Amino acid sequence: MDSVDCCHRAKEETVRIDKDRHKTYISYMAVSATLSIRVPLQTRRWLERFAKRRGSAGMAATRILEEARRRENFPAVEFRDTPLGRVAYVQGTRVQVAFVYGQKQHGTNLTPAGLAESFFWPLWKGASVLAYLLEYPEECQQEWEDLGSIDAKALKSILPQLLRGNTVVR
Amino acid sequence: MKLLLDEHLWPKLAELVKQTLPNQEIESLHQYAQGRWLNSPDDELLAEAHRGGWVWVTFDVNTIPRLLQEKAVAAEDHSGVIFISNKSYAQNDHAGLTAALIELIGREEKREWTNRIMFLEKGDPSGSKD
Repeated sequence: MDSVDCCHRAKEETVRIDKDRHKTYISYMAVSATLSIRVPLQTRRWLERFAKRRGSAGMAATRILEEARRRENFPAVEFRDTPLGRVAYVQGTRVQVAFVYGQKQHGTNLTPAGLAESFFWPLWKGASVLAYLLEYPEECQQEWEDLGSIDAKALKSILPQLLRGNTVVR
Repeated sequence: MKLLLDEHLWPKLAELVKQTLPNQEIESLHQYAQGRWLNSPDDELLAEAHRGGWVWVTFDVNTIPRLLQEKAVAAEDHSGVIFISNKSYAQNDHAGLTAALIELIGREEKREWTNRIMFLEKGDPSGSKD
């Protein structure tokens, strides 16, 4: 498989995941209201560039406003562009919020203090991340499942040199 | 084979591995260089790991694979990356992760890790491909 084919397949996968993510997002937006705003022309152009992978300028603007609202309510969470679309991260870290969701799914009774201590975070950050998980469980689950969908086979399609490093099943 | 554990791995995992393999070079990003590389972009971290000859251990199958793809296309070297399957191991499965890393080190420490990329998951070790 050549690199062009790999890139093409990777792009197709990104589009598929973006669509799935958008469905989850739309379900959250089931109760919505229309807002018309006037912005500088440069902002409109920037929004159109930002919207290229998000369907429309309106959808992108909705996303930006919603993220701003969430950041105000959950200061420990920020959003970044990734190949899997816009993803929630723990502010100022390389930790995806979905990773914390995964820990919760593992059956651990995560407490703000325990989470904060395990990553050397301040207590407020642990509390804010856990509160975010409670508020948006479906999105966190979707992001966690998206990560889980990238298995050895999927990785091998973009990294043909990947080796399998199986370990004993315990 | 020196292992650098990404920021989202439990920082004390390195200590647990060292309890069994005291001579093993393994560090968490939280402790590495006094935590200076925490929250670093992927490309800078990969470059830093390469400067020190560290194999980067991570759960991040989202952003890092694309970076490695770019590196391969640009014919740029790195010192190896190990992706851990989040289906096989939860990040707080400390005992499971410790055992998996110890087993992996025992099997792979003599190998040349430059540009090597591995996906670590539970399964039959005889099914590991080289």
